[in-house]
Amino acid sequence: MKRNDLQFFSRLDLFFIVTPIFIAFFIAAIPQASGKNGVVTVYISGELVYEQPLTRTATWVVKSDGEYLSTLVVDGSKEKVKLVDSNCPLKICERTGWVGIGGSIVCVPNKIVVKVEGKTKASEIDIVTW
Amino acid sequence: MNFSRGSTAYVEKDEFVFGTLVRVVVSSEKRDPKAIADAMIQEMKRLESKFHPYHDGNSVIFKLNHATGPVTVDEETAFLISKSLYYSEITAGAFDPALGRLIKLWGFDSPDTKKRVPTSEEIAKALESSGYANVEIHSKEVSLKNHAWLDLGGIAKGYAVDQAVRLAKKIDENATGFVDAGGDIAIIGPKFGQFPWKIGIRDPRGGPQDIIGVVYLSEGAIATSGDYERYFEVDGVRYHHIFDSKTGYPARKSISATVIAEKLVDADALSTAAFVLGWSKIVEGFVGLGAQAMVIDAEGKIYKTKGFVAYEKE
Repeated sequence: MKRNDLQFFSRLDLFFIVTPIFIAFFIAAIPQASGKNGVVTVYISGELVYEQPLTRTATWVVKSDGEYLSTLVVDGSKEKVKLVDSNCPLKICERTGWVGIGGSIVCVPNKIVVKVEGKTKASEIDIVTW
Repeated sequence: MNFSRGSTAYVEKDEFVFGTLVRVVVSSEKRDPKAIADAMIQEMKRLESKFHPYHDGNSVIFKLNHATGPVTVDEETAFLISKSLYYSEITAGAFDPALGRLIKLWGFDSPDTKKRVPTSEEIAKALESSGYANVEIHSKEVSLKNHAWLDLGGIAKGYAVDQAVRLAKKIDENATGFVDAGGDIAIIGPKFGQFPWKIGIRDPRGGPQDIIGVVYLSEGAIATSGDYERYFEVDGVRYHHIFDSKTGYPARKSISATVIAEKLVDADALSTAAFVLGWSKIVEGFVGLGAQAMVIDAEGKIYKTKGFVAYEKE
C-alpha cells in the first residue's frame, strides 16, 4: 500500500474544512476580547473598592462605613456606566450620565471616582478640558 | 487611560485637591515618577490649605478675610493677590477675586453647602461687601474694605498646578506628562518626550465624552470655564458658580470659555473673565497677553482668537 492511499483528505479539502472553523472561532472570540478590554473600577478616597468587566451588566450600591453614598449601574450590552443615584447635594456625578472606555465619573463630596479603563486607539484624545 | 511606550511609562496619581479631582500623569527616566507625582500633589495640597477662603487651619486668606485691619502677608500670597488684581483691572472686573461674600451667599463655598437663589436684597447687600476695589495691597500689606472677602478660587488652582509642574521640572528637567486639575490642564512635557498631547474641548451641551474641538499642546496650559458642571436648577433655570460681579447673579453671556496660555495661573483667570465677558474686545485683546481664547456664546456660536487655530493643528 502506498502512503498516499491512506490520506482521507487532500490539501484542498483541509483548506475548506479548517478555514471556516478558524473564521468561526475568530468571530466567536471577538466579544470576549472586547469584554476583556473594558474594566470598571470604583475608588473611594483613592482606595480601590470595586472592579468588574465592562461587559457584565450589574447594579452596585456604593457604601462607605455602612453609609449609603450612591448607586452604580453597568450596562454590559452598551459597555457604559452611570451613577444613577447619589446622596451628594449638587448631583454632578448623576448628571455626568453614561460614560464608556476612557471616561470617568467623579463625586467630589463623597470622594468617589469611577473609571472606565481599557484599550483606546492611539488617535483618540489624551485629556479633556472642561 | 494607560500611557506607555517602550521604556517610557507614565505614572498616574489622582487626588482630591481644590475641590476637584486632580490627576498627575508623569514620566521620568532620572527619578522615580511616583515620587515626583507625590511631591507634586503635596505642593498642591500645601497651596490649597494656604489659600482656602472658608477653612481656617493654615489659610492666609481665611485670616485676611476675618482680620479687622491690614495684614502683612508672605511674598507668595502678595504675588497671587497682586496678580488677581491685575487681571481684575484689565478685564474690567470680569475676573474678580473679592466675591467671597457673594459665593458664600449662593452656597458655592463648599460642595456640601446647600445651594439656593438668594433674594435681590441679599444679593445687593453681598455686593456692597464684594469687588476688587475693596482690596488694597501695598508691598506685602493687604487691607480689605467694606468687610469684603477674598476668594482666589479662580486663580489659586492654576497657580498651584504651575508650582507643581515647576517642582517636577526641578526634580527632572526632562520629565514629561501633564496635570489635569478638574479639566484645567498644565503640560509638564510632551508625550513620550516628542509628541503633543491631544486635548479635547468638551461640548458644553453634550455628555462628558462629547468633544467640540481638539487642540495639541507640547507645553503651556489650557483652562475652560463653563456653566455645565457646578450648578443647580430652580424652576428650570440653571444657576452656576461663575458670577458677574456687576449683577451678583451667574454670568449669562457664554456657556463655555477656553483659554490657552503659557501658565495655568493665567489661563485659569482669563477663562473665567472670558466666560463672564462673552466674546468681546477685551477677550480679543488676550492675544496681547500671550493667550488665545475660544468662547461659546449662549446661542452656541463659537468665537476664536486668530492664534487659537494654530493649536488645532497637530
